[in-house]
Order: sequence, then C-alpha cells, then structure tokens
Amino acid sequence: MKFVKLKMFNFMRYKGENEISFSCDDEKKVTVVLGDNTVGKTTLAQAFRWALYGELINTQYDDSKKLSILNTEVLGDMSANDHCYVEVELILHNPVVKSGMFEYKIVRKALFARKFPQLVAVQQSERLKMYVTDLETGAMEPYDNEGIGGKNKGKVDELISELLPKNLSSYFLFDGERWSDDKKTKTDIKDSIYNLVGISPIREMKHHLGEIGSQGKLSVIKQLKSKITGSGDDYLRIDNDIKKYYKKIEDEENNIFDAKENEKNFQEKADKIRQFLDSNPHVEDDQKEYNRLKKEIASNENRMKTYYADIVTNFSNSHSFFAATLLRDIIDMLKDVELEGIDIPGVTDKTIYYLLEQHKCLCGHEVNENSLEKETLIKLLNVVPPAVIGTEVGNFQEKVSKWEHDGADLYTAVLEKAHLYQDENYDMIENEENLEKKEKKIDKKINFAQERMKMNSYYNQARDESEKARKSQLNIDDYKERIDNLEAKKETLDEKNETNKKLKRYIAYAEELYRSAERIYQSKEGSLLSELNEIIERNYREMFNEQEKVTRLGEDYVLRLFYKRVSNSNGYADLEASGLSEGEKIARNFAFIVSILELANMKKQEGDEIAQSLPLVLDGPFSKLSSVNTSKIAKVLPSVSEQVIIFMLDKDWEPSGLAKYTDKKFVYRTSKEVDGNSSTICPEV
Amino acid sequence: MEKNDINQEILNEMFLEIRLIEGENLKTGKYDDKTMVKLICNIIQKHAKEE
Repeated sequence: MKFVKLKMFNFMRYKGENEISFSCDDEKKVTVVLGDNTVGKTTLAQAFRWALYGELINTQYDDSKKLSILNTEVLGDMSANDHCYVEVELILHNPVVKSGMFEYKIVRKALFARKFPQLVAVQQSERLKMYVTDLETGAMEPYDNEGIGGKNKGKVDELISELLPKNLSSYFLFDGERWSDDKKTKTDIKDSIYNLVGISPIREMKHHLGEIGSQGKLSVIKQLKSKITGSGDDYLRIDNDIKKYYKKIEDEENNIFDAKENEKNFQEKADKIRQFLDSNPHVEDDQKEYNRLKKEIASNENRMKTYYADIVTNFSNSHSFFAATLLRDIIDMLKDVELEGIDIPGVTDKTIYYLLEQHKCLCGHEVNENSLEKETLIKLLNVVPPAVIGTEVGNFQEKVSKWEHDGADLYTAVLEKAHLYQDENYDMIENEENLEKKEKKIDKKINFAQERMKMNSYYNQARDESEKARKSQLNIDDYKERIDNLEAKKETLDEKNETNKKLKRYIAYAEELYRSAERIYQSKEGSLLSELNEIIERNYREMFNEQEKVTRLGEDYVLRLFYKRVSNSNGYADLEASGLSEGEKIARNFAFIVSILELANMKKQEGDEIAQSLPLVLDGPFSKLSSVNTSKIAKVLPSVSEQVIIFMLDKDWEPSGLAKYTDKKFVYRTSKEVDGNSSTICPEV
Repeated sequence: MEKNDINQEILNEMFLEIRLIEGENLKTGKYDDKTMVKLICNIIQKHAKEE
C-alpha cells in the first residue's frame, strides 16, 4: 500500500490549497519534507490522521480539544455569519490480490462558522467520503460514511480500519517528537496485527463458513444444510411403505385364494344337498305332511278342550232351564189374581199408617181428625198392598218369562258345542290315522327341512366368501395404485437425492474448510507472538546496538522493555525496565513497528498474498536520537516498508543517509511566510 | 460423504480462493456478509462439481 497524494484546503497552518505527492517507486521509496521547528511538519502528520480518523495527534504541549483545524488567517478574515470549509483529501493505492490495483480517495470535509467577534471557529458539520476505483477497469464505487440510500453507514470507517488500522496508527504515523503511549486494548492491537500479517482473512473465512448469525444460522454450512430437501429418511420411508403395500397385496391375494377355496367348498356342499333334496322330492313333502298332521292333531285336542269347557259353563248356569215347568205353573196360578194396576208403586198400607200417625202428608199438609186429608189417606188403603198387589205380580211375571226364554237357549248352545266337540274328535281320529300311516312311510333319520336350511346356509356362506374375494381384489387395486404413487414419489426423491448428495458433498467440504481455517487460525495465533518477538528483539538489537536490553510484546499485547538475564533468587531472568527515557520509548516503538512491517513482508514473500505492508509516515523520528542511532534506524526503514514518508529537521537529513533512497523531486520543504502565520509546501528543487 | 472422501487438492484450492476473496473484501469492502456467504458457497460448488 502506498500513499499517492495529500491535498489540504485551509487545514491548520496551510492556507488555501496545498498538496504533496509521494514517491511510489520501489527503489527510491522515500519522500522527505524538510523544515524547521514550528513551520508545519507536524501539521502534515495531523492531516493524515484527521483525514483517516477524524482526529488529531494528541500532543504533549497542545490541548488537542482546543486545536482548530481551520486556518487561523482564514478565520481572521471571516465576518459574522461567514462559513468556510476545511478539506483534506488523501489518495492511496493498494493492490488487491487477483483484482489488480485499487485507488482509494478519502475526502474529509468540515464546515465552520466564526463565533464573531471572537476568533473562534465553530464546526457546523463534517462529512467523510471515499471513492474506490479499480484502476484496471476504471470502475468507481462511491461510499459516504453516513450511508447512501440507507446502506453502508460507517462503511468508510470500516474500510479505513482494514487498510490502515487506527490501533497501529501510532506506529505507522510515527510521531517521534511527541510520542506517547496510547492505551490500546489487547484486542485492538491484536486485530490490527492480524490484519497486517494476513490472519484476518482466515478469521473472516471461519466466520462466514460456520459462525455468522445466531448459532451460525447465516453461515455457509447452515445455508447449504438448509437446502437439503426432506430428511434422508424420506426415501427409506417410501421404500418401506411400498414394501408394506406389497405385503398387503400378498395377504389379500392369499385371502382371495382362501375365499375362493371356501366359496368352492360351500358351493359344493350346498350343491350336494340340493342334489340329494332334488333326488328325494316326496320324502321332503311327506316329512312336511307328517309334521303338519302332528301340529293339526295338537290343534284338534286344543279345540276339543275349549268346546268341553264351554259345555261345562253352560251347565253351570242351567237352573232356569230345569225350573221352567214349575215357573209355568206359577204363571198359570197368578192369572186369577187382581192385577189391574191401580196400586201406587212403592207405597204400601204401612206407608199410609205411618203418615196418619205423623199427622202430616207427604205433600206437607197437616192430617187432622175429620179432615179431607185423613179421609183421602184412608181411602188409599184400599188401593195399596196388601189390598192390591198388581205391580209385584207383574214384575214377577216378567222375570219368569225371561227364565223360560233363557232355558230354551241353553239347550241349543249345549247341543251346538257337543256337535263341534264330536266333529273335532272325528277329525283328530282321522289325523291320527293319517299320521300313523305317514310315520310308517317316511325316513326319519334325515331331516330334509334341516338339510334344506343347511344348503341355504352353505349357499349364503359361498356368497359371503365370493364377496370377501371381491373386496380383497378391490383392496389389491387400491394398493397397486398407492404403490404407483409412491414409486412416482420415489422417482422425484431420487432426483432430489441426487441434489442432496451433491449438497452433502459441499457441506462436507465446507465443514472441512471450517476445521482447516480454525486449525490454521489457532496455529498462526499461537506462533505469531513468538515469531514477532524474535524479530522485535533482533531489530532492537541491530537498530540501537543494544546488548543489555531487549524489547518484547507480551501475551497482553503490551510492548515492554527488559534487562536481559538479570540474576535473582531463582537464577537468571529478564527484568522489566521502568522509568524509560523518551529515547528508549522511541527506540522500543520503532523496533515494534519496523518488526510488524518486516513480519508482514516476510509473510508476503513466503507466498502469503493476503499479508499487507504499510507505508511509514514519520514525523521527526530522529529528533531525540543520536546521529549513530539515526543512521542505523534510517538504514532499516526502506527495507521493511514499501514507502517511507518522513518529515524531519535539516540537521537529521544527512546523518539519516536516506538521500540514496530518495528521488530529488520528492524532497519538499515547508516554510512559513515571513509576515504571516501560514505555511506553504513546495518541492526543494 | 466421509472425511476420507475429501480430495485434499480440491480442498486446498477452495481454501486459497476463499482466503483470497476474504482478503480482497477486507480491503475493498465490496461485499456484505450475505454476499460473501453466497460467494463462498459458489466457490465450494464450483470446485466440488469439478471433482
């Protein structure tokens, strides 16, 4: 990766537009900006940091919060309600494996207003944009950090973080003059180093293959698995169903066979009986007649019993019949009695005497002596019983006539029943004679009626068996249809199975890829620290000719300096150095960044195309180092970095020995206007 | 498919191609996660089909 150009507009010390192009040559890879103190060297480093991360270098002598990025002279020229913008544009080129070279143009722009009449700039807004261009095809993709159409919000920050990790910015944007230890987290530094040495793509690969989404739901493995249609058991299940139906067909065929056999048997039995019955037609009739006669005789007996009972009943009511002669005599005798109906029905002489004793008539009149009422009552004594009994005799005569009549019916009734009884008896005798004759004639061993019933039952059973066979045949047809459907399903499943088979192969590869990525990630992670520490130790030793001290990155990814093999109670061990001088801190950090870059380069040379190398942007790196150390460090820089951009004092230029790595047109000078506060930058030549 | 059935040569080709595309995407941010998953699926299918 190489920076191509830095363009500033009203940025801090640089009023108006100022730009600087950087050497991208592989041999003469150094770009140098010379200048005295306080003429804008650090501003250039600030421009890098602001363009990339939207912040300024936290300097020791400035309160960064109060630093304004708007050029002071421009601010001074602003009136109330005036607006002015600051913009920094940074262009860099980065090769993307197999895709060629890409250009990244980062543009950060901030709008300011003056808090008039104070000389204070108030920032109104800030925008960050990036334009990624494929230099081979010319295709350009714009990104806005605020998102375009609701998409890709924060994308520019993400891309910058991948290209130039902010956590390592203290190193590749090396500020030797104002170095301070940033409190970086282990994860931040670790992630950034992983990016540089090419472990991050493996981490991403692992992520996409098996981890993305809740429980890896969106991962390649899960996505492939979700495409498998049905379960592997479907095929087996259908196959089992088909087998089951074949078995059912077999059972039904057996049923049909059995049913047909049974039908045949029943039919044969029935036919046999029919044949027997047909060959003995009279026997069956005789048997029928015999049974009929038996029943008839029983009926004769019953009827006779009834007639007999009727005769007995008639005789039990026969008193009138036997008294008929006597009654006739009585009637004759009563012919002489006064029977004229002059008596008063229901009134006797006793009634009259009772009324006379009471002196009161039935009508309520008083019955007094010598009264008409008494006279009338006494007269009545002559027309009531016992003086007159016509009514009683009349009643008696009626009764006798009825008895006489009843007695006459009895005879007729008894006679009739007696005849019936006799007739029945004759019938019975005849029936008994016929029965006797039939009994002698028929074969009682075989009951023909029963045989006929049996025959009918056999015919019915034969019909039932035939029905059974018909139903079984229907079932067989149904099963065959089901089998056809299942076979069709199986065929579809066969096709699906082919797809599933392929998917399972892809899944097996995806899972193996995930396992490999995990294995490599873990092994790289494990070896990285020791590999890096080996390089750091060597660089520190070579760059600073240091024999007593050693610098090392701990498990916590904190860089420390140690005294080598100091004796203690356990023997010898490295002892951490404390109270480091600024020079020692610079040396330690230099060793670190150079080592990271070297490791990334090593990985690239080993064929790791993913590993990336960073340019080095160094602000006053040698100001606190001796000329000997300056020379040693400067010598190393071009070998570990693809590009070196260095801002330095004139005094360090010659001792650095960097002239041989620098094309003259990339030697710049920054200077301040004589009567102003702003700086300008121009090529030295 | 058993682990033994995996062709190591094909697996390596897949690995390198996926790693490359992951590295490229880290730098260009061209693809989101969903697209990356699709691309990786395609790479796996492409190589496994050739088998």
